[in-house]
Amino acid sequence: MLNQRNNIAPHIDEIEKVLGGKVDRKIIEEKLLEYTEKFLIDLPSAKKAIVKNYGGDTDQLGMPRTLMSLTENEPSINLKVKILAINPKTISFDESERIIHYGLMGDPTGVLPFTLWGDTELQKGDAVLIKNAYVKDKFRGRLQINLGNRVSIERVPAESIGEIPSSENFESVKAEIGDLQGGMGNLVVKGKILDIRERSVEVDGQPRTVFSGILGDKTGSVQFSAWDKFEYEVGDILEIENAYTKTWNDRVQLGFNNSTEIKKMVGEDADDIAPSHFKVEDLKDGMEYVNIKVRIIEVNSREVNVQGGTKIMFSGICGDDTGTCSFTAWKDFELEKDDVVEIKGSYVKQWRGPQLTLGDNTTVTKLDRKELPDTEEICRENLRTIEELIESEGGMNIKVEGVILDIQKGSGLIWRCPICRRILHKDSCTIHKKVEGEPDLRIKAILDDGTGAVQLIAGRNITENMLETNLEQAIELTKENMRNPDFLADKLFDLLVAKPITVRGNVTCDEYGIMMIARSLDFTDFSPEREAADFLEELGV
Amino acid sequence: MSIGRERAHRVFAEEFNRSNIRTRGEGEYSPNYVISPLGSKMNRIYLCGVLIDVENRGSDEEPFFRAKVSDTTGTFYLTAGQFNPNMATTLSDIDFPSYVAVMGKVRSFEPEGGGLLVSISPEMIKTIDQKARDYWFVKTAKTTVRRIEAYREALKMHQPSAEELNNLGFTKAESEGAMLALEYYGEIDTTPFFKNSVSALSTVLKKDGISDLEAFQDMKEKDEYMTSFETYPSDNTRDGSDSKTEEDGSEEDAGPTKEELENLVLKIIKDVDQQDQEKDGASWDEIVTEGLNNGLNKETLSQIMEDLYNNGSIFEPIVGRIKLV
Repeated sequence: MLNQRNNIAPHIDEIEKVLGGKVDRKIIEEKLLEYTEKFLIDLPSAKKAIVKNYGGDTDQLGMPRTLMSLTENEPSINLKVKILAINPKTISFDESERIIHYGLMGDPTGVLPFTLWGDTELQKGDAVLIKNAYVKDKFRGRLQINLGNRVSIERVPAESIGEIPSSENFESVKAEIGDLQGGMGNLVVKGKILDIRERSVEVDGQPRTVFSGILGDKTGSVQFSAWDKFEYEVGDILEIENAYTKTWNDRVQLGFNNSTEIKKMVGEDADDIAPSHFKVEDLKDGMEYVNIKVRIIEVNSREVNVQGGTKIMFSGICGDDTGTCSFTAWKDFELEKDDVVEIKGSYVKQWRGPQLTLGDNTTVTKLDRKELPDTEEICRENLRTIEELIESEGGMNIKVEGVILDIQKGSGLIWRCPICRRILHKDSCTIHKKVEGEPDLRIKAILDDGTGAVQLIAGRNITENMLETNLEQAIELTKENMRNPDFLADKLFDLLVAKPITVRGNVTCDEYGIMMIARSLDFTDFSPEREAADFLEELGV
Repeated sequence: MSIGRERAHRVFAEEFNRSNIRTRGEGEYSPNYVISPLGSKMNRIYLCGVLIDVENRGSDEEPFFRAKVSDTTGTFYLTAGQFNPNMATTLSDIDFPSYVAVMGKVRSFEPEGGGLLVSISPEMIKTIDQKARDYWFVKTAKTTVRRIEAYREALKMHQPSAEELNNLGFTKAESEGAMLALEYYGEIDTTPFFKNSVSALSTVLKKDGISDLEAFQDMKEKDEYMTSFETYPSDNTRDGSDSKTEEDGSEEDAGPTKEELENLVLKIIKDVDQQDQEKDGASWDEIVTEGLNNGLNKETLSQIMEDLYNNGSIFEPIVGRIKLV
C-alpha cells in the first residue's frame, strides 16, 4: 500500500484534469484513497466513480498518458506512441514454447522498453493508440510497458504523435554502470578506464581512428567507443555527461555524441571507483576486464565442436571467501584442482548465475595455495536463503534449507523426446511431433524456506534414491498401478512434503521465475530439542 | 519481490488471527494480502499443528468443511468447500486429533461492526510426525523473534526507514515488514508474540511432560473434547501463554467466513429461483426477505451479491432478477 500511495499522484492529476479543476486536489486524493484502500475498489472503477460523482465526463478518463508520467505498478493505461523497435523472441514457459515481442516505444516525453505477449502485426515505425497496457515493478532499474492479452492496439496518423525527442531533450540521469541497458539517453556515468585500444579504419574513403575501451565501476563494466580523439589512458577516472547506450550483439555499449562531455577526475582513489580485484559475490553479468583471486574447486575439460574443427573447453567451479561461481576457459591455463590463481582480464556472463569467462586476452598467475581458505571452507559459505537468491538472480553450487510444500504435475515417471529431451504430452513433442518416448524419472516440486519459494527440479538419480526404485522398476510399478497414473508422484508426496530438506545445486532466475536444479537432496539433519534449547538460552528465557 | 511464486509465511496463530489489515496490489489480477501486527504481508502461509476438529457444515452433495488447527498459541481456521474438492476430500478423510502440515491461501472477511476475520483456504494438507511439527515451531519462533526485533528497532528510530533497518542487518523483507507494522498498527505491545515463541519452544522441549497431541487425545478419551465450533474452548490458556486473544475473543470465535456467506447467499438465490417456476431468476426483494430470515442484513447481503456478481457466480438476466451462472 505504501507503493500505491506514491503512485497515486498521476491518477489524481488525471481526475483533476477531467473535472476541469472544479474539485480540490486534496478532496480527490481523499476520495481516491477511501475507494481504493478502505473499500478495496480497483483503481479504474474508483476513478470512474469519482468523476461521475462530481459530474465529470467519464469518457475522458483513459485518455492516453505520456510515457514519462508513468510510475511503477499501474494497471490499465492507454498510450499514444510510435514503435521505435520491435523484435520477436521465443521463450520456454511451463515446458511449452511461447512467442513474445520486445522493443522500444516513444512519445514526445520519452522512450521506454516494452514486452508484448504473443503474436502481433505491429511493426517498427507504426504510430498506434494502445489501450489496457500495464506497468509492473521496475526491471533492472527501468520501467517497462507490458502489452498483455487484454490490450487493444489501433493505428493512428503518425503526425498525431509529434516529435520523439532525441536524447538531448531528456533530463540527465546519473547511472551506475551495472544498471545500464540499451536505449538509455542523457546519462551521467562515472568510471575507471579498464582497457583502451586504438584502431585505424577507413570511413567513406577517409582514414579515421576509433578508440574502443572498457569503462568500469563497482557495479560492472561497459564497452565504449570514441572517434578520432580520446586522450585518456587505462586507470584514468572519467565523469562522462550526455552519453547514451545502445545494444550490439546482445551487449550494452556506451556511446558518445557531439554533446557528450568527458571530464578526467583527479585526486580520486581509483580503487574506490572500481576495485583492482573483485570478489566472487560482486560478479555480475556483463562485467569485463575483471581481475580476481580464486581457488579452483573443480575443473573438467571436454571437446566441443566449433567452426572449423574441435576445440578443448575447460570448465569448473572456483571460489573465494565470499562464495563460488562457475568458470569456463577457451584456452588451457593448466588449471588444477586446489590451485589458487590470480586471473586478470576475464569477463562475466550469466549462465545459472554469474559465470567467469577466461578468454584469449586473459592471463592467469598461480599464487601460494595458502592465499585463500581451503575448498571445504569456501563451499561452506554457500548456504543461502531464497530471498538472497532472488536478489542475486541465482547462483552456482548453492545450498538451500527449506521445506517441500508440494509435488507438482510432471513428477515421477515421464517420457522425453529422444531428439530434444523435451517432455512429451500424449506421446507427442511440441517440436518433433509423434515420437517414441524415452522414459525418465524426476521430481518437480515447490521448495519454500519462508523467505521465498523456488521451483525445484531433481533428476533421475535423486528420484531413484528417494523412491528406492530404479527406472525399470518404476516402469513396472506404473504398469501395475494403471488406475492411478499419479502413483509415483503420490509416493513422492508422502516421502518429501512438509519435511525439512537440504538441497544443493544451481539456481537460475529470470523474468518468469526462479528455479533450482538439485545436485543432491537430503533430509535436513536437525534436532528440534537442541535448537529449541539453544534458542531459549539465546533469548535469556 | 516481483519474481515468481508467493512465499508461504510462517506465523503463529495468535499473530495471524490478530491481523486486521488487508490490502491488495493494483490491477484486476493482483493478489490480496493480509498484514499481521508484526508486518508479515501474507498471501500464503505454511503452518503445522494439531488438527483438533473437522466439521462438514454443508451437505453431502455440496460439502463445506471447516477445520481447526491448534499451534498452542491459538487456532487456525481452515475452510474447503465444493470449489476446493481435493482439500475437502482430504479433510473428510483425515483422523483427528493428529499433527498436520498445511499450506494455504490467506482469506479475509470484514464482518459488520468492524475488524477482520482471517481464515485459510488450504492448497496442501498432510499428516506429519511430531519432529516435522517441531521443526516448524523452532523456525517460526525464530522468524517471529526477528520480526519483533526489527519492529522494536524501527520504533526506536527518529525517522524509521526500511533502508536504515537493512543497514542494521535485517533482511529486506524483515525491514519492509517492520515498516508495514509501524504504518498500519502504530505502537503495539509485542510481549504476547514474544511469549508465543517461548511457549512454542517450551512445547518442543515438552516442559509439561506431555506433548500437545497427547493432551488433545487425553481430552478426547475423557469426553471433554467438544466438537462444536461455537463452544470449543480456546486452547491458548495452556503453556502460560498470554490470554489476550481470549479477552477480545471475537476474533477467536470467528463468525462465518466470506466463503460461507457467499455459499449461503448462493443457496438462497437458488431456492428462491426454484420456488417461482414461472419467472426466470430470483427477485431481489425475495432474496432480501430470505436473507433476513437467515440473519443477513441488507448491507451485508448487497456486498456479498456485488462480490458474487463481480466474480461471475451470478448474473442478471432481466433487471431485478438474479440467477446463478
